[in-house]
Amino acid sequence: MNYLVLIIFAFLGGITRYQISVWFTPINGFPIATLIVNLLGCFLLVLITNYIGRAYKLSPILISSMGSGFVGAMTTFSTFSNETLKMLINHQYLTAIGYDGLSLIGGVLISLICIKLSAYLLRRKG
Amino acid sequence: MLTYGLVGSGAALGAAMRFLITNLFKKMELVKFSLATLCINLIGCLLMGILLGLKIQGAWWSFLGLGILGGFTTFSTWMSEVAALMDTKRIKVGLIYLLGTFMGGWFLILVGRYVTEWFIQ
Repeated sequence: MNYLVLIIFAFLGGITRYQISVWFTPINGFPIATLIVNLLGCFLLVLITNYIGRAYKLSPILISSMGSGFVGAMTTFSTFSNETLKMLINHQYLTAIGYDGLSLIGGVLISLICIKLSAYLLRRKG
Repeated sequence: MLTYGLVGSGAALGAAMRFLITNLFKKMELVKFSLATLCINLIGCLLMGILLGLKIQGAWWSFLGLGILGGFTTFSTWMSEVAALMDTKRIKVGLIYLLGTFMGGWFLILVGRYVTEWFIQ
């Protein structure tokens, strides 16, 4: 039963990732769609696990279905690595540095800010 | 429309496998250094390399590459784990985990791809 809920959320997460890749095609070999889903996912995952789940006392199954299921399936590491490798093979070093820099530094910063934001929102909610 | 079904059902399967492995690691109390996510992401990259070596395309790529491996590997969990390490002042471990996953990822795609190409030649 737990898996059924998770599977439904992950299905939707995968479709969301695909839809965003249809809307945002790469610009000069820069995979804007993957950057969008990955950075958006960093924000959503921390917000769900650190704030929404606790503030609204959601069941652990629902929290992991929304976080691990939906957001986990929406973001992707394998495509990110594949795109980086393609850039290196095609000698697009500047694009690779820009893409990886934005993904990694952006991802860590957004997650960190969201950890602080969630703690603040939780305190304010009392 | 078919592609949506393939990517979605693949992602559902991939995420279920990720959930299963993460729970298994938790039961075995191997939670140090976010080992589960590290293994999941690196295994996912090795498998993606194998798919590239096999020159999988079209519907199978949508299901296996974008679906299963896309849903199996995760960027957000990795980043939130790095951020949590940084937040608790374990900066060095955080950086090692960040760069280790990053470099291991494209290295294993490369390995998977060339070993597979070498095998099928």
